[in-house]
Amino acid sequence: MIAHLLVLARWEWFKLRRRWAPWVLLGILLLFTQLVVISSFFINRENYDAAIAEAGYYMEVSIDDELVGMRVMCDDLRDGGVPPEVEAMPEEQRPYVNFELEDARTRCGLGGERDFFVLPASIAQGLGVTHALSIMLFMFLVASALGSEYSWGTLRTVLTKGSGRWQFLGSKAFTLLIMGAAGLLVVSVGVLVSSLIFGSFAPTGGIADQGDWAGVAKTLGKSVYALVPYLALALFFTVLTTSTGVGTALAFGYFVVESIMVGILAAFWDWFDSVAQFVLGTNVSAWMQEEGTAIVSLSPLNVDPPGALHAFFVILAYALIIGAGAFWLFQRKDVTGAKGD
Amino acid sequence: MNSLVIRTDKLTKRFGAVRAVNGLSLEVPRGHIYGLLGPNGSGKTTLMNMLLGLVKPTSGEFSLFDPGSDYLEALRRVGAIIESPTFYPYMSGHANLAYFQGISGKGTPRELDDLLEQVGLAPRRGDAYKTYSLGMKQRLGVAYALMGEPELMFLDEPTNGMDPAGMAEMRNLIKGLSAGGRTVLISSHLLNEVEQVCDSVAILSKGDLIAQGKVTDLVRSKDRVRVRTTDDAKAAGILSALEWVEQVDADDDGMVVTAPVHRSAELTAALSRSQVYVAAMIPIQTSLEQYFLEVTGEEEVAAP
Repeated sequence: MIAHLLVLARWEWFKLRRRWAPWVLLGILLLFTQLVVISSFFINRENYDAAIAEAGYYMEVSIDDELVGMRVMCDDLRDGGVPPEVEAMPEEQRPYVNFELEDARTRCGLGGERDFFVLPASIAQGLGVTHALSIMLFMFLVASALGSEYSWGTLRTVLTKGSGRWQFLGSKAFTLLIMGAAGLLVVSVGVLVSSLIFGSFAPTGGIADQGDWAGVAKTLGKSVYALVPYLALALFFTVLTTSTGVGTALAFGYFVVESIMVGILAAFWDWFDSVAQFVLGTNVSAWMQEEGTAIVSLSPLNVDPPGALHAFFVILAYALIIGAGAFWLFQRKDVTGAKGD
Repeated sequence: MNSLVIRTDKLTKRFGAVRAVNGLSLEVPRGHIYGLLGPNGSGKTTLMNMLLGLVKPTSGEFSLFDPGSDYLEALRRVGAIIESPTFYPYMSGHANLAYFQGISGKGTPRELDDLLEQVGLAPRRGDAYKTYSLGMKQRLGVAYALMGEPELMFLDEPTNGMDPAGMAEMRNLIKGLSAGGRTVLISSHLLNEVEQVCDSVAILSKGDLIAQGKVTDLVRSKDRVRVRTTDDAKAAGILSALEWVEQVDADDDGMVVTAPVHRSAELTAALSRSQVYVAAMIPIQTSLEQYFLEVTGEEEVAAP
């Protein structure tokens, strides 16, 4: 059975790699992440002040009605560090200098935008900012890969060759997930290459910080896992409607409307916050959230994010339930001729 | 080895209130070219779709090859063209066949080349399917159906949209398919076409099975002879009394007796025993089309 599934998956890849859609969608994702890297690089250059980098940043802060002046050297601010003067301050006085320190970091070329083109943080940041976009493109790919089987009428031709219904859908889902994972890997490699290039031109120098490379692999793995429930969702709606267009629209609709509704309802009723803890979008955002990584998602900000373990199981439950629905429906439904939509 | 390749038992399919196939019990012997006859909407395609697992029966059972055998395995021994052939428009004819060969797990790359050669598509093997003409698409469909040397073939309206030359070519192809013990189930509303290629037929009307059997047997059951005698009125009475005479109709030119042609001698003898003598006896051959019209009560069938 596994061997048969793998054979079907192999031939699914044979088919999908000859289509334009996967390559165009990958191109969009690559282009978007490259734009993020490049624009971050130029913003960083714009913010960088060579004089400050050489002589240090002089700041004056008012602490307990007393004006305190200090010169901060840029090297002290690398890797999120703070100058010795600030480190020596009592904890309660730190907030007074934080704003000035952020400005110092920006002028030293060490602002937050640097993380988008300096390794290894740039990969996690790239995956984070494309999170919502990659999910939407992936859902379109899934709906298109299955919906066109209905519209071309090829599903009939496939099933009469004895491939088996659930086996066919299973192999398609598996292949698409592998393609989604490969797409995210390519995006990561793309960011890595552009980071190597742009990082070498960065005024602050150094193409890689002392960073958490294992964290990058973890973010990539999390991004792939976050695709699974949306794979199930797009499959379900496409099987239900037997159409690429309607399947995509419903999957997108769910993705967008869910977050809007959760945001509105949570704003009106506090108790809804506990319901939101079990909503897919909230959990996917929580699952993707990593310290210091920007996540561009549609999840509402007025909902407390659940914990990672909670999010893991909620995502799994959604994937299993919606996926089972898709397979059940696919197994039962009569397959008619080409629809030509 | 089972002598029946397809067996259905009270197979029924309803689409809402519409009964597309109604309690159909059918037996298709191995090695036959078996025709499913019926006007549009009689349930032919629905029946084929059920047998190929595309449409779920509402009730009843069926088996392909040996009863109780693995259905997916059985499907891998089947070739089919249901309605018009459908392939991936962006892939070439060769890539399409390679894909379907790949998922069926049977055959060699050489077989694909031979099939494309056989259906005359070798020069266009690398062109995208969407650039093919209707005839080329049909031919690719035939190559697909022949792939893996299937023991059973389903052909649903195989000459649809073909010109007369294409139809003749397809007829020859279908006749050739049964060589080597292959069974072919072919559906058509073109009775002339079916009569030319099929050994046995089943006639469907509004989802019901009206008749099934060998074409020659079915047609013979409606054999008729035109008889003129020395006393037609008396002869009609004598012949009507014979139990193997189905019907006697008088007309201006004598009478038409519905009875097996091979019993003509007995018919003559019965009349002469009563001093009625036959002046002329002309066999009237019944075509499958006439038989079909009689059993279904249809007024008109589409011309081939």
